[in-house]
Amino acid sequence: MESDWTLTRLDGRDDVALVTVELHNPSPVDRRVRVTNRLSGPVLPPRRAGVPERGWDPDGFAGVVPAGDRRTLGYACPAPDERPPVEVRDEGRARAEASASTAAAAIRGLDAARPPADALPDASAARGAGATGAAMETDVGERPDDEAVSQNGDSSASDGIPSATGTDPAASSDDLTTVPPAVTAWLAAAERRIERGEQLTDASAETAAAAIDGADDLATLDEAVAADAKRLQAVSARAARLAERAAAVDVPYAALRRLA
Amino acid sequence: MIVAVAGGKGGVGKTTVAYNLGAVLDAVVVDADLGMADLPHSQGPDLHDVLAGRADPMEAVRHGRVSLLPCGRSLAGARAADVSRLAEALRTVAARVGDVVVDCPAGLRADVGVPLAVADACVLVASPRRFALADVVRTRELARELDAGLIGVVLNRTAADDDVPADALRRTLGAPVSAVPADPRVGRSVDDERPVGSAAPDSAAAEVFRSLGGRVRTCKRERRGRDDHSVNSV
Repeated sequence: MESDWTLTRLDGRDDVALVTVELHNPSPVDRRVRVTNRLSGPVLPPRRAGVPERGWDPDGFAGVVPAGDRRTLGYACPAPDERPPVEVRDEGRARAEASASTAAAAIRGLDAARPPADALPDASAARGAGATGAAMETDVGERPDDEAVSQNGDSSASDGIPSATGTDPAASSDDLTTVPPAVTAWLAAAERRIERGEQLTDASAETAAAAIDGADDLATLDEAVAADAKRLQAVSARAARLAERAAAVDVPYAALRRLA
Repeated sequence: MIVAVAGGKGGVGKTTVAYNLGAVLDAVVVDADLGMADLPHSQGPDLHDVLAGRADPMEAVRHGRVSLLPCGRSLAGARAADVSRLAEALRTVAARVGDVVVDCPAGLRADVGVPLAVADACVLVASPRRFALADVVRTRELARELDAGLIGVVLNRTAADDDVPADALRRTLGAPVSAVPADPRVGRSVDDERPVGSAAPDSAAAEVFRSLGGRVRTCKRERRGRDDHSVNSV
C-alpha cells in the first residue's frame, strides 16, 4: 500500500488542521487499510446527514482500497501540526465485507426525518428569547421546572448555529427586546409589592387604611420588598455583565460552516 | 426481538396493525412516527424526549392493556429529535422487555430506515387498492437493503368486491399475504385501547393478528436456534 498525506490549515483558522491522505493499492487484490490519526485533537470526519461516512470512527478510518486503485480520504482536526499526521497500516487482503445494514447507513442514505425549520409555527422566534418564553409558558404548567428548562436548553442548542443567519436587527427587533413571560411575571409581582410598600411609606391615615384593607401580609411586606431589592440588584448586575459579554461575542460562522 | 411495521403509504393502518400485533406478542409498541404520531399519548416523557436525550427509553414506556412508547405531537419536538438515537432506544427497550413492535411512519425517510435497519424482521401493511401496492414494493426493497426479513404482508380493510392480486403480491414480495377484512372494531382498537383480540376474539381480523404473531414467534425461535448454533460452532 502506497500512501501520501498533506496537512493544511483551515482558511483563517490556525488551530484547525485539514488532513488529506491518498492511498494507492498497486497489488492485484483488494486490500484493507487502517488510517489512524496521530494529531492530538479529535477526528472530525466527513459526514452526511450528520452521520460520519462509512468507515470513520473516533480514531480514524478503516476500509478497503480496491485492486490497482486509489482512494482519497480527508478529515479535519483541531490540533497543532505533527508530522506525519496519520499512521497508515496495511491490514492485508480484504475479505468479503459485511453488508452496511446499519442505522447509520439508513440515516446517511435516506432523507432526513426532521420537519423543516420553516414548518415550526414560531420558527423565527424559536431561535431568540421569545421561544424560550413561549415554551416555558406552555411547559411550566405540566412539567417540573427543571425539565422545562432543559428542554429549552436543548432546543436552542440544536438550533445554535442557524441563529447567525437570522441576525437582521431591523426585522427582529420586536422579538429581541421581548422578555420571557416568566421574567415579566416575576418583575410584575415585585412591582406590585414595591407599589404597596410605597403607598404605605409616609402614608396618611386614609391611604394607609385603604391599602391595609383586607390584607394580612403587612408583617412580611417590608421583608419581601427588601428581598426584592437585593434580588433585583443582583439580577441587574448580572444582566449588565452578560450584556457586555454578549456584545463582545463574534462567532466565526463562515469558518465553522465550512467545517460542518 | 424487534419487529418493524412499515408500508410506504400513510393511512393504510400501520398503527392499527402494530398495536394489535403488539397485543398478541405482549410487546411494547413504539410509535416511531416522529412527525405525525398516532398512538394514544398522555402526560409524561415520550419518544421525542428520548431522542432529544431528555429521558431514558424505559421512562417513556406506558404500561396498559398494551404497553406503548408514545411519540410527542409537536413539530418542535420532532425537530429536536435526533433520529440517530432511535436505534439505541429501540435496542434498549428490546433488551429490557423482550419484544418491541415499531410503528413506522409513511414514506421512505430515515425514520423508516432506522427501525428497519435495527429490526430483526418486518411486517408490511398495504391497502388492497392497486395504486397503493407500488409503495409496499418500494418499502420491501428498502427492507431488503437494510436486512429486515419480511414476516408477512397485511392487506388491511379488504372488502368482498376487492380485486386483490394476492398471488402476484406474494410472489413479488416473497412472503405470506393475509387480508384483514374491513371491520369497525379493528379501526377502533387503537383509540379505545382495546386490541381486537380481546374485543372480538372470533373475528377474522383477530385470527390474522394471531397467525402473524405466531409467525413472529417462529422466526424468533429460528433466530435463537441459529444464534445458539453459531455460538456452539465457534
